[in-house]
Formats: sequence, C-alpha cells, structure tokens
Amino acid sequence: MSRILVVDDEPDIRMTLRLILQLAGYAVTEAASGGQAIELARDGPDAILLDIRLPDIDGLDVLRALKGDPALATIPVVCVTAHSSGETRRQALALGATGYVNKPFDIDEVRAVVDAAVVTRTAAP
Amino acid sequence: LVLLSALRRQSSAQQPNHVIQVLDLVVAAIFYMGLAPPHMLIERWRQPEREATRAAFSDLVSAVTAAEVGAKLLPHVVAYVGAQGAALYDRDDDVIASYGTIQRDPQDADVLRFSLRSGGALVVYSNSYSPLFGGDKVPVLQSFADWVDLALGRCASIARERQFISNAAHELRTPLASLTGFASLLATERHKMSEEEVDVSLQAMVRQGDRARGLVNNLLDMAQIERGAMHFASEVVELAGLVEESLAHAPAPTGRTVEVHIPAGVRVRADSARLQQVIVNLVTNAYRYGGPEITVDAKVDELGRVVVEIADDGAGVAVDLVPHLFQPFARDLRSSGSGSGLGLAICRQITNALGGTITYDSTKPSGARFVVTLPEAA
Repeated sequence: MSRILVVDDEPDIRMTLRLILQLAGYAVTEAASGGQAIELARDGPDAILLDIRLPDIDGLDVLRALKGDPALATIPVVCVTAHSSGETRRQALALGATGYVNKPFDIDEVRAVVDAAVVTRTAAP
Repeated sequence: LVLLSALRRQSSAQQPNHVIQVLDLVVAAIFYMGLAPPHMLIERWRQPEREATRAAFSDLVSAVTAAEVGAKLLPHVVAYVGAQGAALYDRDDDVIASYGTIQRDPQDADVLRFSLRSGGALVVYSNSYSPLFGGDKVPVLQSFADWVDLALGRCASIARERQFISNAAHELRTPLASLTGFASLLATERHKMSEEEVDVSLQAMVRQGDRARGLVNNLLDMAQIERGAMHFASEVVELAGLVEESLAHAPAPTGRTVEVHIPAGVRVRADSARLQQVIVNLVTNAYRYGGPEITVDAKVDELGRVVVEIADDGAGVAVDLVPHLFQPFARDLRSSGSGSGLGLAICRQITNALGGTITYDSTKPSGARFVVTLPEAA
C-alpha cells in the first residue's frame, strides 16, 4: 500500500485529505508544520501533499529543503494551496513540485494528481 | 491692420471724410481686439484646448492602475504643449509610463518636472527648438499633475478594494475545501466509510460551515458599518454585567482562564450588543492567539473615560504586524488560525462609531494587551 504524507496546519483539511486518500486505498501520515513534514519525509512516504501556507516554514521553503536533500529529493511533492496566484504555482513547479492542487479541491482531482505522482515515484530508477 | 491703414492712406485722397472715419473705427476695433480680445473671442480661441483637456480628464477617470493613468494622460500632455515626450515616474524614480521621446539630450533639453503628492513626478520633455514651456502652459501642466495625483489616489483605493475581495475569497477557500471535500465523500463513498468516519466528517462540516458563516457575517457587518447603515443605540451599559454576558457567550476553552477585575458601578454610554461583539472578539482572539491567562480590567481615567483592558500572557503580536493590526485581513498569513481576519477591523469600526478608541500595546515581558476607551455614562 502506497503511503502519502499530508502536510497542512488545518486539522479539518488534513482530515478531509486523509479520508479522500484512505478511501482510495492509500495509507496516510500527517504533519501539521513544515518542520514536522521534513522530519516525517525521512520515513520515506511515496508522495507528499504539501500546503504552501504553513505556520513555521513557508511551504515553498519546505519544498526547497526536500529537493535539496539527496535522500528526500526523489519523493514526489504535490502542492495544495488556497493561493490563486499563478506566480506561486510557477514557483512551486520550478522548485520541482510534480503537481499542484487548488483549494477548494475536487476529490477526484486530488486522487488523480496523487496517483500520477506515485506512478512517477514507482517508475523512477 | 497694415492693409487697412494702407487702404486708409490710399483712399484719403479720393474718399469723403466720413468713409475714412469709418475705416479708422474699424482699424481701431481690430487693433483693440488684437491687444485685448473680448471674452467671447478668448472663449472661441481656447475652445479646442478646453476640449482637449476635457478629453484628457474623461480618459483619466477610467484608469484603474498607475500605468493606465500614464498611458491615458501622457499623450494629451504632449499634444497640449507640443512637447517631445512626457513620462510618469514613481517614488523610486522608475518609469511607470512614458509617451514620445523622453531620452533627452542634456545639451539640448527643456525639462519640466511636477512633483506628485504620491511621491513620484510628472516630467515633460522638449528641446530648445520647441520652446513651448512658457506662459500659460505651465499652470495647465500643473493642473494635469494634480489630476494625476487624484487619479493615482483613486487607483490605490481600487487596488485596496480588489485586495480585500481577493483576501475574503481566500479566507473562504479553506472552510469550503473541507466542506466540499467531506460532502463529496459522503455523497459518493458513504458505503465505504465507517460509522466513525461519517461522524467526524459531519462534525467537521458543521465546524467549517460555522466558520464560513462567521466570515460572511463579518463581511456583511463591515460593509454595513462602512456604508453608515448600521444603527448604534446609545444606552447606559453596566460594564461588569456586559463582560459577564460576553464571557457566557464565549467561555474560556480548556486550559485558558479569564480573570475579570471590573469595579461595580462602572458604566459606559454605548450600544450594548455591539460593545459585547467587541469584547467577545477580543476575548476570542486571546483564546486563539494568546497565552493561557487572560485578564479583563476596567477603570475610569482622569479624563472621565472608561478604559477596558484585555490582556494575555502569550507571545504577543509579531512586531511587523502591529502597525497593520486593525486593518482587514492583517493577520500574519503564516499563522494558523480559524479567525476570519476581520475581527479587529470590526472592533475598531465599532469602537469608533461608539465614540471611543481601540489600541494595541504589548505587555511586559510578553503578551498582548488591547485597550478600549469609551465615553463614561453620566
């Protein structure tokens, strides 16, 4: 069973995403902050769903840290955010995010993006 | 005039005297009009200029960004004075918009600079072969610059409103994401969900629905106060009782305590429901962002005003946020919180409408303190 790390500071958003993914057959771990996300990423999840607005470290900085660490760089990261600006999206993709989902999200869209991310992980050498 | 006087000289030999006199009158009239034209003629001569300035002005009112202001006005400025070019600069002297030739040759240049109140400048460029910067053109250019100031002020307020709408939409996205997420799951995959999962989903939906409703209510309150459409009663309010009611409305969550020190008999003149809204807002903020110990104190100061202080022993407000604290959606975007971002803005609107003030002060060594000052009831 593939495991997804869900990073969001809003407990209800984490719970929504957890249910959406669990019902699609994924195992889910949760992180409420950027620091916790980097820590839990070391457990080797198959993909990370990362909120951009976090209380401690900005989500884009978390993404930068993940991609800068050779041990973590291969984990696909999907950004989830209420930021509607194309600039944030562009930055996230430039930093190596595999996908991007806007809040409020469509459950099928979340699953499709996570499925695609997990496939790239499995396909990677 | 030359022709007429030549005609006069020529005709004086052959014409009778009265014809010459009439010619003299005509010459005098034309001569007078040349030096001091009658009002009607000035009006007529200035008509095209007036139309040009009117066109510039009506173009300007449809501009919503600084660049548009420049793009719409600069061609009129250049045409009006026959300049080579004109440009609009921001406070850092960067070009916002330009028209015509503005790369002037310092050896051969005629430049007029009009400072703007917003910090930038309107600059008109010409050269010594088109010496049009003189006489009555300068005051007109000054009035163009004044319009630019007005238009830029309007642009700034439009930008603020757009930002407000975008912030409000942003704040609604989080509760909506939860609501629609859980609702879709319940609608399509309820059969796969355990009893417990259904329960927590429904509870989360109620929570997020409340949050969205709170935000919408706050938006409506703000709009109503700003329009001046909210009615404020003027009642004598016993403060201790009002605070007690407010706390019954917003009880301290587990782990937080509220100590109230309000002497009996402290009364204010206010709208009790609106004042309660302010107290509930400040106390709820302390629960959300403050430390575990919260105090509510009140006293009458030497000027006869009632001063209410709501303080906590938490981390206090981030220093860079303090100057914007009472502006809508000013809260630190990186802080987590289920607030609407409008609470303090509404508190300020209400206290101002009640004839009072609200200020923020950090307590020593730490913590937040909000001070509400209100007129005492006689």
